Amino acid sequence: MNDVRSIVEQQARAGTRWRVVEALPWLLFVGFYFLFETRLALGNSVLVMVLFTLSLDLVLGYAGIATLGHALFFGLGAYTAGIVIVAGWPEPFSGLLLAILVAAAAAVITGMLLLHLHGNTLLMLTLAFLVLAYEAANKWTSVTGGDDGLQGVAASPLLGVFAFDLRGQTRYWYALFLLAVLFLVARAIAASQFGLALKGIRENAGRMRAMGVPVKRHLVVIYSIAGGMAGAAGAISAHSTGFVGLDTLAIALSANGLVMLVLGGWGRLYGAIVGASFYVILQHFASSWNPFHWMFLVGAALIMIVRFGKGGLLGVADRIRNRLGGREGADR
Amino acid sequence: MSTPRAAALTVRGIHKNFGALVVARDIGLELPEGARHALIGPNGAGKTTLVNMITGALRPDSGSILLMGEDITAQPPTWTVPRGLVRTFQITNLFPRLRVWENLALAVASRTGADKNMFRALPRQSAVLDEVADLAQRVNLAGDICRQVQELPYGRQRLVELAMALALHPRVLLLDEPAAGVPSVETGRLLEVLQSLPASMAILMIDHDMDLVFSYAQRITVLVGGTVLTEGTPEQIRADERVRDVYLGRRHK
Amino acid sequence: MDRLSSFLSFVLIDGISYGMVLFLISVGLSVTMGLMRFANLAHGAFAAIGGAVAVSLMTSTGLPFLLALVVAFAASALLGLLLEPILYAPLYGGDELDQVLMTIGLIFVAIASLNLIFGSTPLPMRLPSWLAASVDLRIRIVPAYRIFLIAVGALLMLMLWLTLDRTEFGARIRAAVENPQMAQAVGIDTRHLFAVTFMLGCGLAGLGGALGAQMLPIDPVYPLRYLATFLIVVSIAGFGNIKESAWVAIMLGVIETAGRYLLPEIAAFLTYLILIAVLLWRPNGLFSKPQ
Repeated sequence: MNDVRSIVEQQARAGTRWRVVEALPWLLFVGFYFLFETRLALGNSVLVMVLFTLSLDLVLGYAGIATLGHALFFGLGAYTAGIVIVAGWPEPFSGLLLAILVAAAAAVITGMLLLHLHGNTLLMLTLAFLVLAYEAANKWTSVTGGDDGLQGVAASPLLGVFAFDLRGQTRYWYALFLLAVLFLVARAIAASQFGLALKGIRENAGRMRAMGVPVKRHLVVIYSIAGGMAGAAGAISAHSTGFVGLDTLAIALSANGLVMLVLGGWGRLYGAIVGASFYVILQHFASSWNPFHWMFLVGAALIMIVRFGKGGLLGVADRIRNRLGGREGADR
Repeated sequence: MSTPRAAALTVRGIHKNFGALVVARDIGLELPEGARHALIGPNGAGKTTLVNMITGALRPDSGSILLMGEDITAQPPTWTVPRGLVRTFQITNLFPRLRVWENLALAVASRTGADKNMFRALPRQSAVLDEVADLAQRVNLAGDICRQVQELPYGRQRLVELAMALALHPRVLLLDEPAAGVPSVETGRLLEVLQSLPASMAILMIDHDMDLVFSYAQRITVLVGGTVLTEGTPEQIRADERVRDVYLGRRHK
Repeated sequence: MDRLSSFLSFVLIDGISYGMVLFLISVGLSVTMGLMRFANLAHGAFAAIGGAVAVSLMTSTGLPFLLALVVAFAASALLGLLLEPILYAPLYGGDELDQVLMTIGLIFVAIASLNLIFGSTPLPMRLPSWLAASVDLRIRIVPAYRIFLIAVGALLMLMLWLTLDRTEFGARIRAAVENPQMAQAVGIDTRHLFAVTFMLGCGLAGLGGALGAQMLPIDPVYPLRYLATFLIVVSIAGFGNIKESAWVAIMLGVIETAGRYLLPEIAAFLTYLILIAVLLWRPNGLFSKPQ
């Protein structure tokens, strides 16, 4: 009996314990700061997109909610943070908090309206809400700046000391610190019984329901948490760039999020980090070339991934590791 | 505890149409505590439909279903499962890419409510892991707990299916063809587990395997074309002409 | 009364003609989603490509308008015929996410290709003189183009209706939409059916794209810009409900036109709000039979 019990515990630990290799991305992020002092704006973009993709992983990779409208929460967060500053309250942390609350509230509302649906209908409706917000932001020029965007989002210095200046140091650590904190939250959730329940819902929602699990309630909870995280990413973006445009509510952002997540590998958090980092950096260099050529590459890569490369970059890494080490298939 | 004690499960006057198609007409049956009751009938007789109505997956047009005397008609599983109504599925309905221990853990945690917990890491959910280990031992799956469910042979998957039902601490257990698709070499283990189920649990079994049904059940209800043809002890059913007519040439699955 | 009839005639004529274009483009999507149960987010790309080919040929070689329409249909149909077995067929019945991702990839490739071939500015669409002329309908003066759209749309609707109701091909489509397993069991070659209907749907989209190029200008971002609109028409009608999607498209055309006239600031917002409300009330579409 003890034998079985300890094997079970061992299995549980294997999926959740901290591994040395997990320090790698964080070391790289810190290293980036020292090695690429002139490119901190790019680094900041990477961190923002990593956070956005991380939140999408919770929704899609763990809970299996197929959404085309995740950019809604990013945009709401960005605009909230921006509007608050332009309206006369430049303190960044409180703006961030408000942005998270607004995005999370939107997630709760849309979640309650939608999360008993699934498949194509859910896709349509998440998209529809996003487009609704886009249209609102587009026309409500007095508040959002409309097509031109919200200018002059000048946050006051963090903690009164660290100014958001052109050198980009403040914004980089700001983004990195928040990413680290929210990542820890995401990781804790993924490693908990709730996280396992989400996987269960993703794998077989019908069975979960038949066991008496309040599936919709669980989904609304994770959707709200992830919505808040995406809102945080939006707010960080607003504070860092001093500007909020309609692209924060664009379908393209949702689509890019999906691409980044699939590129890195969904359902394991680090896939979001890897995928978003690669994508943003590659896009930065490719866009100086020709943005449409980049789009072609991404589109083709996506088609290829769907046909052949399941699991994204981390999936490929797994297969290489297995070939070398002869171990069992990776946990999902 | 009030007297007289209510039956574990009471089904009365269940009717259901899908348009012109009548899938259930005036179905009734009663399971006392500790019942070993079987539901048999030809394919399409409406057996699984009845189970779906009992568990709330389908709403009957009229009639009532009582669990321990409490009306549960059309109540969803979030209501009935905590009150002890559990079912297994005819076609294995598990979490294929997850491992056996994870499948079991999902069932245990849903019962105890541990699945609401976002902050304690899985390895530290001792109560849940204790039960998972215990269940695995009970159904003789201890050697397989690390494997993905989709890798298991079908007969062992049915055992996982059963274990998950047991994890929910049923007072009334509805077994929808527990032996379906299980190769005969593996039915032995399945039978052992079924025999070992607690005497206080009321069990309703649907199956086509007549050997299994006649050896396991104390009472049998025969369902044909959506209505109850007859009900009785195995001997009575075996002797009944009408039942033999219905199963003309089909005593085994 | 005069103002009112003028307003109504404007809304009806502009709205219905717009709705006709929406219908032509969306009908292929409706069939794909109803028949193959495949969310083809890239459907707008076929409209854009067919339209782009036709319009640019008109501009560069002076191809007559009516011929250009045929070319648009053929170009998109051919593209659909080529892509369906390679990209779409392997994913039928599979994970929805895979389908979404593949079609997003296809949208990106299409946008990039449109830009590469036709440039990034909207393609100028010059109507032939007989369409650019105005027709005096006593209540108001109407561009002949709009009347043409309504006439062509009605004609195509009629042809579709007849195909669906009177031909064996149409019967097979209806059967497979309603009950795919039964259809296969009865011996309908679903593989072949899917390929043909996909091709026709793409062709119609191309035709719609070319017909509507004056109202919905064709530029590289076309597939993404009108994605939500096509999806919503199809969703509200219910996937696979071809006739109903005609009515929904027309209604949407009229509502949107009226909205733009009466409440220009919030028209788009209100339209989406209404559509969301309808879909929330009837997630399977207004006209779907309960599953």
